[in-house]
Amino acid sequence: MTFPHDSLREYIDDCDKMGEVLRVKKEVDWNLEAGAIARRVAELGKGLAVAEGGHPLIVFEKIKGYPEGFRLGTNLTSNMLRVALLLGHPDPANATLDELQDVFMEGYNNQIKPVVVSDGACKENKMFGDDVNLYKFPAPMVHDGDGGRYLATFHLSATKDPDSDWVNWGMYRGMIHDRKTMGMLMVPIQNIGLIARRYEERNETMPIAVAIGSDPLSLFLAANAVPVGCSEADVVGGLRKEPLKVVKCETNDLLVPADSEIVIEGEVLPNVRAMEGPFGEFTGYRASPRDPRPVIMVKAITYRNDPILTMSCMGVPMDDSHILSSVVVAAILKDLMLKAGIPVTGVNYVPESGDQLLVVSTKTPFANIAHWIKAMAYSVGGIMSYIRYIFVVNDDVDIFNIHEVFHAFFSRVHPERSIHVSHEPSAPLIPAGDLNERLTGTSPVVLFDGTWPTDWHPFIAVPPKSSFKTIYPQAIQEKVVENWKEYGLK
Amino acid sequence: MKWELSREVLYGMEGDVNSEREMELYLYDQDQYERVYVRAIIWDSQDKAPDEEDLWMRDFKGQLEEKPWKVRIVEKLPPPWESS
Repeated sequence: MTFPHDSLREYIDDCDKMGEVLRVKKEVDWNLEAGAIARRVAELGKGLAVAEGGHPLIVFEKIKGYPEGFRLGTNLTSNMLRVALLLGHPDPANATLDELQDVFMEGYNNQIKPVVVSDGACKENKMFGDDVNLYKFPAPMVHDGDGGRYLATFHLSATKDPDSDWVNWGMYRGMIHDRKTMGMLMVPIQNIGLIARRYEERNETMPIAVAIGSDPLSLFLAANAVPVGCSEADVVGGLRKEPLKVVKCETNDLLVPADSEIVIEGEVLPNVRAMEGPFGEFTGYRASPRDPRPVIMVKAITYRNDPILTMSCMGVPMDDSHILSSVVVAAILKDLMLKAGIPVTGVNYVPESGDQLLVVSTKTPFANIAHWIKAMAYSVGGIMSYIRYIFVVNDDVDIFNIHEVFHAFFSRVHPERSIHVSHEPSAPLIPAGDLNERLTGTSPVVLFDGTWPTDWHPFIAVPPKSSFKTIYPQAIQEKVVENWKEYGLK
Repeated sequence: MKWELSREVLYGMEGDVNSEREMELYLYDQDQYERVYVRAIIWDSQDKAPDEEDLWMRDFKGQLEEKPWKVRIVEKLPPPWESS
């Protein structure tokens, strides 16, 4: 296996070696058909590896109305094995979420800046000015009822903070308006929203580059949220253990991964808005209304020969975004809390929740630690914009076992004492928010404090858990395990 | 050409439908879903303007409605950011 992957194509080839790729020769329509296939694959796949009954990454090789070679790649990271593979885990087939968090943190804590090269595969073809045509690529109508064709659903949008060297790479959905303009969702509390606001306050144009089908680590970082001021390209270098090769755009100074499949260069004019959305999102709903949003005026497009346009057909779990997010957000929050002296033992950004539930296990050296955990989590800002539910439990619960989490929730959350509602800034995609809350980004948050009260006597008030591992003496457990097959059990 | 319009775009202009008054709005062509800004007159049934072009409506849930409306495009307009 290759690691690190310099291009999407290297990654797909490695996935192929693991039996994780299907290349579809039959012609498919960009208008809903490709999206419907990708959605069904995600739902039937359930986030499992192909060998475990899951479904593969798909490359559609013939798109209706498009020439040979213009391909569509989808479901790129919709199981743990494929995410482990792109992260360079030594045993991708058996990787666990908490192990991947550790892999990520090693790279995050040892960042390496990218190296600028003079040329890259993304420069094989170029379009400028009046020749620019976003319809050159088979941008899908992903879901019925989307606001338009979404060219950017699995990509990185590069913007630079005007006040520092910080360059943000994020995955913010991009919809085609016409041949030369795209709309983009730039949520005010997310990193791109912060940067865009700084340009707009000065009435300045913001340069932007949208790199589609880049190397998988760059896409992985872009799909996630890292703290303000952290450049994703540096983290990519840390994960690679060597610098990422980047090239300068043709019409601005932004840098993008050199072997990206497609790069769209443009600028965002201050205070210009056009209706964008709706779009079926990772929350499992099309919850964000059509709304006036920023517009990218496209100046140039560069692309590889036979480009692979990457697509994420988001919806109900599990798909690409759920599994990617579950690694980075949880890892960063755990690290932050440990550094703050909060004795958390695990953080799970639960993929099955559609990126809305954070479960934290902790020791409880003092009362009300759950409130401190929630406060620490929201101190990181935009990372938390989608998390509306936080569930804190004692460290005896395996928070990566969804069955244990479910049981702990209904056995430890006291209906009067444990539920705390507060109001934090949010993204507009929150399904449970009413329409006004979605438009204004004010959907409330719930903290479920499932820790046993610290003033309860541990032997009298806290009920013993009745499980094999907790309610039988060690000697009996060992005897039962040792004789398991002799009982006739498997 | 077949055109498409979302009902939300008509918000506040509902009274102009069937009035023969010209409205400024944006449509999508259904061939490649390119957005076109236009001055147009629209009718809410085929019977009211049978000779005009079809205008397929999407409801507030994003679903295409069963029968098309009708549209007469009076003039194609530049996008708002070019005209301001």
